[in-house]
Amino acid sequence: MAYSNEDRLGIPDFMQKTNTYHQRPASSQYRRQTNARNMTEDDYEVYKEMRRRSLDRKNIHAKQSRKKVDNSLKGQLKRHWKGIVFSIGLGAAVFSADQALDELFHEADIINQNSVVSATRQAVRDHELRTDNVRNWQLNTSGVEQDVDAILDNGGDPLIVLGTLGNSLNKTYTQDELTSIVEHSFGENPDTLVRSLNPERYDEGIQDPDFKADVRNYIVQQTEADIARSHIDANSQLEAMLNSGQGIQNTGEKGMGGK
Amino acid sequence: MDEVEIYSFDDKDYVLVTKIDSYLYLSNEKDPRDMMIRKEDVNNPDLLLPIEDDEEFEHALLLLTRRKLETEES
Repeated sequence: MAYSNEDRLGIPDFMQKTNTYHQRPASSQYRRQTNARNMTEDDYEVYKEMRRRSLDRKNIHAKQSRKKVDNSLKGQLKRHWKGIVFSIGLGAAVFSADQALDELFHEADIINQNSVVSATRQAVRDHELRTDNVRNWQLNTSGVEQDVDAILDNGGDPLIVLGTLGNSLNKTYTQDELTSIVEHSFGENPDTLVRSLNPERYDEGIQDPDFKADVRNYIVQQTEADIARSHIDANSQLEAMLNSGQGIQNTGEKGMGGK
Repeated sequence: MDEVEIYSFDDKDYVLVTKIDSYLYLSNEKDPRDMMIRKEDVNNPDLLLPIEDDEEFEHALLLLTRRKLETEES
């Protein structure tokens, strides 16, 4: 079938059946400045912890030495730094550094308030076994699959679930698990599925930076809309309470005046 | 095998990924997500000082951005 790009990145029908998308207004604003901000939630968590440890007032007494390590290790560590720093650096090139950081913090805070993102992250964490050595990392995929199915059955937005799974399981050693979970819950290989949404834009599949940026913006927009709706609901309730209170007060005044 | 500089503390080995001015960019050898920036004490190279504030932290990150780590990868 033909997918509309304005319909949640053209999410296929079988995914729409498990969510409340049709009740939400379509919008194209989530595509704003997608190439300027590619920091994933995972990067943000690493960044936040790195900042905390860098600013920790405690002096560190270290012992220096030299050591021979596997050739790939230093490159792997540099790539991690590059992933964090360049996502900020790209933002700093577009905005000022302060604005870029403020926006990243704001977006991450908004994303962290999204219940589907939280539930999906939790589904992974609840079935994760990790030691200090990543080589001993293990995931109970069937447990995650059951939890993801429950999230989707309860109306969780499939696009948000898919994007969050991609971010939570974005390491080379987690690819098999990600594939297994997505194939179980969405019926298709994750890369094939994401490419099918927009073959020209998402040619790298589920880890494509454009897909991640689009999903990130989509989550921010949906969450901001949910927050705005809850404020409207709260205001309506408050107004109803005030009106009700006014009625009571009027009644009271009448009563008092009646005496 | 590559030879790298190691800073050992808290029972962990941190690889010196790069050094710019007095800033040390460190990563846990066993966990690449465990990263930090510290400052070298000119009088005591074994003492790793904290970054003073957010402004200095951003300055250190921007220095690293300019260094363009990808050009150092072989």
